[in-house]
Amino acid sequence: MSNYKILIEHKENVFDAESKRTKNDIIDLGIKGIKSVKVFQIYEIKGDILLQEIEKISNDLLLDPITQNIIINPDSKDSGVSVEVYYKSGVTDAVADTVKFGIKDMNINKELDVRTGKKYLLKGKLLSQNIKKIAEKILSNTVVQEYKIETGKAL
Amino acid sequence: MVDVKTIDILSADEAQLQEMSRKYLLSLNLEEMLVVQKYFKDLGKNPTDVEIETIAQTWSEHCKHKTLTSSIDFNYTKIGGKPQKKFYKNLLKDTIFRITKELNKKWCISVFQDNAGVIEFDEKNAVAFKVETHNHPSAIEPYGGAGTGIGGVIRDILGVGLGAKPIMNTDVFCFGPDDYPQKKVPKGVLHPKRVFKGVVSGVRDYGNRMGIPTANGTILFDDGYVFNPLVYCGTVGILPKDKAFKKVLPGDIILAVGGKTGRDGIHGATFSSLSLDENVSSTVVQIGNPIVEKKVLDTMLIARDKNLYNAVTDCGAGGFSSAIGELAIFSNGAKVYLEKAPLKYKGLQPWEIWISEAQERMVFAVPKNNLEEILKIFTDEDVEATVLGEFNNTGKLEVFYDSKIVCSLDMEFLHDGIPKRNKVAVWNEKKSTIKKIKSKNPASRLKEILSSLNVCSKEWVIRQYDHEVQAQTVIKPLVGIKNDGPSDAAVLKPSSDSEKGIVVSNGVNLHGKKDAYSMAVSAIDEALRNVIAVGGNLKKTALLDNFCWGALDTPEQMGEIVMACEACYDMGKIFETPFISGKDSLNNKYKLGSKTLSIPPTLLISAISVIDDIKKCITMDLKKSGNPVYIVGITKDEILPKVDFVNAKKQMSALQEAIEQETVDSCHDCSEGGISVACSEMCFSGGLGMEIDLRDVPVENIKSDETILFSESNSRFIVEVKKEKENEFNKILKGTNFSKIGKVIINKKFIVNGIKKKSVINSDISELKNSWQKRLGNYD
Repeated sequence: MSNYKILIEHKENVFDAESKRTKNDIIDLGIKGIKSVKVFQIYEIKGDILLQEIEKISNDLLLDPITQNIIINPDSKDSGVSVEVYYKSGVTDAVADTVKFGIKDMNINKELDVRTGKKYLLKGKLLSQNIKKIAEKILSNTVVQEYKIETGKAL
Repeated sequence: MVDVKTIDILSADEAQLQEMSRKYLLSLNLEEMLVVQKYFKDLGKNPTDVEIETIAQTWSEHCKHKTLTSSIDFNYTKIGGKPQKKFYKNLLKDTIFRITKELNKKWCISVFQDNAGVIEFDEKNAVAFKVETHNHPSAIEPYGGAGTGIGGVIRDILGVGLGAKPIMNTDVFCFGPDDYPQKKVPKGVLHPKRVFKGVVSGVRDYGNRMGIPTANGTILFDDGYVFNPLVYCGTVGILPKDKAFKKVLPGDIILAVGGKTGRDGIHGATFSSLSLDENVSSTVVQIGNPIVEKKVLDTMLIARDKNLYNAVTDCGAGGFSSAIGELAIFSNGAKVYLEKAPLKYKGLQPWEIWISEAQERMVFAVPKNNLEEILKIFTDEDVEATVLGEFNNTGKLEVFYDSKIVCSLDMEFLHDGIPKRNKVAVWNEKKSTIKKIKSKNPASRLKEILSSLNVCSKEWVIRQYDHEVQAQTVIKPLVGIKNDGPSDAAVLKPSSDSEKGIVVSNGVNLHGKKDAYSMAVSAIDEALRNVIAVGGNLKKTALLDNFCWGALDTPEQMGEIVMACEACYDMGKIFETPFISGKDSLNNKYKLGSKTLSIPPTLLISAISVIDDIKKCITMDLKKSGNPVYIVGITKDEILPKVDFVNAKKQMSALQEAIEQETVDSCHDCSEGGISVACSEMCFSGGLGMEIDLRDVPVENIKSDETILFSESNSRFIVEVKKEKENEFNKILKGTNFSKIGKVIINKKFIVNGIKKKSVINSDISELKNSWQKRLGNYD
């Protein structure tokens, strides 16, 4: 049984509408200290599966190699604040269902658990109550989603 | 662990019955609970949770429209009149259904009986149209709520008759202002801007992925919608005429097709009958998956054309319980084996499987002999299809789980046992106060209106939707030389081998805050104006009504909805436009502490018209300098616009004739902002100027330039007539209220000459356009 976490980010110098929009929303909320926002798409894949297979799935199914980079099982702690948002268990994760279909179409016939989420890397002068406010008002909808805040080395 | 609970209803007293209804989210009142109690007393047993949930779903406001179909004692007083009384046996039947019945149009194929209204398109085909609301889910999860709203109404179209092919979506939203102060938004309520952005992206992602154009809609902004936004989604479909009706025969197999069942959307039907407050659970929200629905759509149309099934319906509110329960009416009974339903995850109790509103599911009635063939069509395309049981004529709805019976209800009790409600309604006609429009400078007032939220360009929203996919959109939501002017209506050409077309428009306004009757007549007038303005056919126009109301606790509040229904009857009679489908969403209110905040009563009218030749359609942008400009209709000083029942239809029919005879180059209706806004929009959309003279505008009791310019009287159009056809136009319009007011000029200016003064407005059209465009959408 292995557990993989795959992050997908936009390459530098590629226009990243979602990150830009999220930053504007945070400024709109009245939090001026925000300096930058970077959004990552998260795929978590659990099951009896090898790293090579995960790499193949990542590159052939999940990634747009022209505009995006992929990070499998990131280990280093980010500088800045990371907010990860996932659907609560029981809420339909349509993207995850489609990923499972895609993996099957690649002839990888294994019982896999897939979960998707978003990671937001926030930088700037942010008070902890403001981070909570951002997470609840902009990044997640606590009716269907849960979020996890991690504060990195330096703010 | 499968756990079917028995609910002890037999020993409950009245207080306990009410508590039971509240605790299990049944939304049944005491009278209904007593009828349920009596039913089980006669059977001598307590109900299971599955049974009680089945009754609650079937009897929900959402499914049964208890309020609008109740009997009503109505007391009303008109200005200067004596108090009068009227009794409605069934409000809807006595007003909206009645006018459709009286008009008895041969081209109406199926009205108020199926998932959508169906009218004739040509010899072979029919058009189906349905508009739904998805308000509460969109308030708490805008993206998922709006996406499943559009997904749900698309399934209504898939589930009408034997299934129609969706060809167009519409969307109308009511939100709080996007700049509403953050501080005033209470806990548990999302900021209007977040709701707005979430709803738009939800509709976009679902509609675009389904490959259906979203080509008509509008947005109303008002403080009254901050706590409870409204999300109306509509779908138009096309189907062969001989596929417009369904039947179910005893012995037909119950086949569930599409998405799996999960815990999402439990209690949606009963949830929509409650007020919103800050405590909501995630299970009432559904998450959509358009890719699954698209596959269902493609495969079911193949099965339909091979005549492989007798009936189909969608799983909407109430899930399997409603879908199977309603189809079972045709055969008078069904047996269901719930353990067979494909689940998203383990651990669902039988009652949850039975009422879950998980998305993308359809139920079919399939003759046994066709089962193998239909299953092959679905499985070949990776669409899940599962046999759940069989329809029969036993008069009972029986549900099993692992061969144990968990629900056994008499069909008759389930569908006809609900006690009729009686309500008292009161209405006193209010004196219409006269609007004092005071402004020193009409030009700056015009710019202010152009950049107000309810008038400004909605291009930011429209551009996110694909309105071209399927390549049938002849008149698009944005028109003009730069494709950025506001079209009055959308026109589709669904058939490649004929010039026949479909016109779709809407009407909705905020007059409901003051007078529901004026609101309703104005909404209908606006929808019809929009149809006529592009070249629609009033003789073949049908209407849809969608009521969204707040609290309906007092006789005065009931009186408002009665008057809105009366307005539908009156307008239907005057214009000879039948209603073919409708829906109501009541209880659009929010409990904030001890206060209840209701939305303004809001009736959305959607109009659909079938036309013979799309080549005769016109758009609203000015075409040629030198062309004369006319106004049709009378401008009045009124704050609550009425409709002139004597002249309105004559005017519209004459204008229709003038457009059919190709005497008109462009036409735009006067709505918010009146003549001034209509003319400005025609100018900057066409890149041409206009000079008009207010002395030539036919008016009633008006003496000021401002009132003529900004009055929002109904049934008016600004018409650019072809110079060489001016005589013909005058001949056709003769006998109606119309007048020449000016001409199109090459100079890119909008010039208005007042009653006494020249040039009360003299503005560059680029400035006007800038005011109109800058307001909305600087979000990215």
